[in-house]
Amino acid sequence: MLTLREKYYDFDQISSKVFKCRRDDQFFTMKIVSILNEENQANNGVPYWIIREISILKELDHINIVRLIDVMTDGPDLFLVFEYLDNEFQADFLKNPKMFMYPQMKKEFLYQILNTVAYLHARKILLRDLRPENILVNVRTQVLKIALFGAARTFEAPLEAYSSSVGCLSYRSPEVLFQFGCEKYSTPNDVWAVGCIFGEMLLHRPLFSGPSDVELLDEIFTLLGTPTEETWPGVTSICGTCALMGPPQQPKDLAKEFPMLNPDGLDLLSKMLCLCPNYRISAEDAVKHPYFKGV
Amino acid sequence: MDSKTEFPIPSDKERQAINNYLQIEREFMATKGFYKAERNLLHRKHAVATIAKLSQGQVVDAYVAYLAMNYFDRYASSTNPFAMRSNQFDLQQFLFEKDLNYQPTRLAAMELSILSGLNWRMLPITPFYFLDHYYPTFSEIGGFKRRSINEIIVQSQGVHQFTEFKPSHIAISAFLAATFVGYPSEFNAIQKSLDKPGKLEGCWRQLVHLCHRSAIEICSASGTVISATKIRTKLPIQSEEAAAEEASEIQTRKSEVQKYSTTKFIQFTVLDTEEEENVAPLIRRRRRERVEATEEGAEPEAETEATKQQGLDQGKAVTVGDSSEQKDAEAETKVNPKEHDKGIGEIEEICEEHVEAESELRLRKAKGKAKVGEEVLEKGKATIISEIVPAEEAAPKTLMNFDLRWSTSVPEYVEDSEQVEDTACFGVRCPGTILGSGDDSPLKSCTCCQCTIL
Repeated sequence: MLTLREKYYDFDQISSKVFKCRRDDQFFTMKIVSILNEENQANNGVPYWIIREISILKELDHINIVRLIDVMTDGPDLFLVFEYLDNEFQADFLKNPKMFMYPQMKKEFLYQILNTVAYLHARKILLRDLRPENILVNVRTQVLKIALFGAARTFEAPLEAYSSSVGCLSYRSPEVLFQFGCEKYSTPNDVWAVGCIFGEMLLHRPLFSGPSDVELLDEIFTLLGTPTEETWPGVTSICGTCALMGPPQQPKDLAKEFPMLNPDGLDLLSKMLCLCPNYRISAEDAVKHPYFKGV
Repeated sequence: MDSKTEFPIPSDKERQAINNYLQIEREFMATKGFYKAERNLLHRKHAVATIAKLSQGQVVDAYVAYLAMNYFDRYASSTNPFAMRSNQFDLQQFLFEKDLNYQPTRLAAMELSILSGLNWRMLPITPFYFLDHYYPTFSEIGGFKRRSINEIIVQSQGVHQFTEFKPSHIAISAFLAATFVGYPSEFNAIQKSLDKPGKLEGCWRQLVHLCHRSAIEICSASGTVISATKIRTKLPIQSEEAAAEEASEIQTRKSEVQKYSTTKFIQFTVLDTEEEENVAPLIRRRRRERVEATEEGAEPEAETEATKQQGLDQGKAVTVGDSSEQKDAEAETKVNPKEHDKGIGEIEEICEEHVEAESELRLRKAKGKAKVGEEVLEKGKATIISEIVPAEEAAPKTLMNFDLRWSTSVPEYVEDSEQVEDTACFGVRCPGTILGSGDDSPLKSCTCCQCTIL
């Protein structure tokens, strides 16, 4: 078997433990993970999160998911080799509106994201940390790819209580924010994140950006209205303290908040950002929404 | 309680996923025919016994043991050269150790070897992936609690005969066996509605036996217990076999009563040599019947061999118990006094597969403890059940909270004459033969590591 350095060359550092490298005429991204150092020895084995990430990526075969090409070990380190994409959705698109060369492009990107989420959910895999920073783009082919599955996990039997503090705050669903410290959530959380990304593509700023759970919930309720037993059955039993609810607010008119969006788009956005997780549209149903007619 | 929440109807994309699973599920099985070799079979039994013992007294999550056994089957039958080379290196280390304590560094190295040997594919396609797909057919007759089906599948992982069946076949056969046990009057109609039902017969019949041996409780979707634990359901074509099995159990029960003076619930009994002799004629007759029954099979040779092996297994371990003393599934497993006595004098032997399986399970236990800690912390913060999932699914471990009924008997394969004659056996114990000494005769001593095999 070829060693690491015989197989790949022309290393160029991207960040502290991520490199761009080459083999023949192809470029790859190499991520270095230390697994058998002093700290990990105390944990009694290979870290569970790396086993989880690699295991999930190994079973995925989808054009919109970054492919894991190779896994190599060299002493105490593990080297993950991914396909290389040179553009980031967050930095190159959301912060640079001109990159969206035509209006249809946003719709196509949204479709790709939802199609991927639907694919993952069908395989009982939750993303849990879906946000623009984890999305890469191939500008030439206009193919978008989701990367970084460190927080992903399966929800096939047996399901377990999930660990807390996972995922960027801005893309967390209200049911997750409500239950800080008791995080049992499922597929609707990923769909909510897609809804936030959709809104961000339209406004070119994060839809919600509060620095804490309370402030974030306030922003959500300012836009979508304070949930009631009518709009979210069971919400009062979920919300342990009334303080998180704040004073009752009426939902704003999404049509005025997103004037560039047609009625179908508004309908889809409102369904993805539905406060009640049980009523929120599923990724699979979202892919079939009339908004995507012609994509 | 809506029974459909336990078996949600698959969506279009989920059906696509299931079709994909059907195409690749063989990649997550032991190599075909691997366990026809006696040596490999003994290793598996050793692994089953080790995992079963290490699972006792732990937080009940039977899926951990299920996965550990899946990893064992795939790794043991792997021909990955990297893994083989790594095995040889570790083997020398193990030969100098007689206990089960490992340094964390070495544990991690072994784990890494297993991960690489399995190509990091630690999410195997299991029968659980197919249950939602097959369930609608069975919901019409009254349905089942998912926990009942889960248990049939997990318990089957402890029996080597099922390693030859694809996960999808085990999934539907688990439903068929549950139907046979719980809805006997509906069985024929259900079976006829299936595509190529004959192909599954070998699997579901053995699962029916497993349900009886392991006293698996079958519950309908509404929660009613529908398995008749007191009445032995006789298989239509093999009623004589059922009677023979029952006679064997009665005999064993009498023996137990005599020895311990009071009736106890015993999950596994290893027959004494004396009793085994008495049972031998029944086993031989049983074998003959099975050979005849499988002559028409598509793979008569394979079936015959599997059938013979099953006869041997049934002779070795028989589940007995007074139904009035059946324990709740959550109760801890009782230690069989005989088994315990035997265990004291037992010499634990380390073989490569045993160590691998043990390492994997130990790691899982460590993780399990960490998660238990997490749960305790979480309970301190909030006990609200999320609106996202129904209450039944909020505690999914309740669907896996049954005891393992796997055999805890470690095979005595050192004394087996076949074992001694097998050259490969020395390959496990003596690095000299790995290096290719070319000496085919049994070695009485080896200069390179001072080991002696009698």
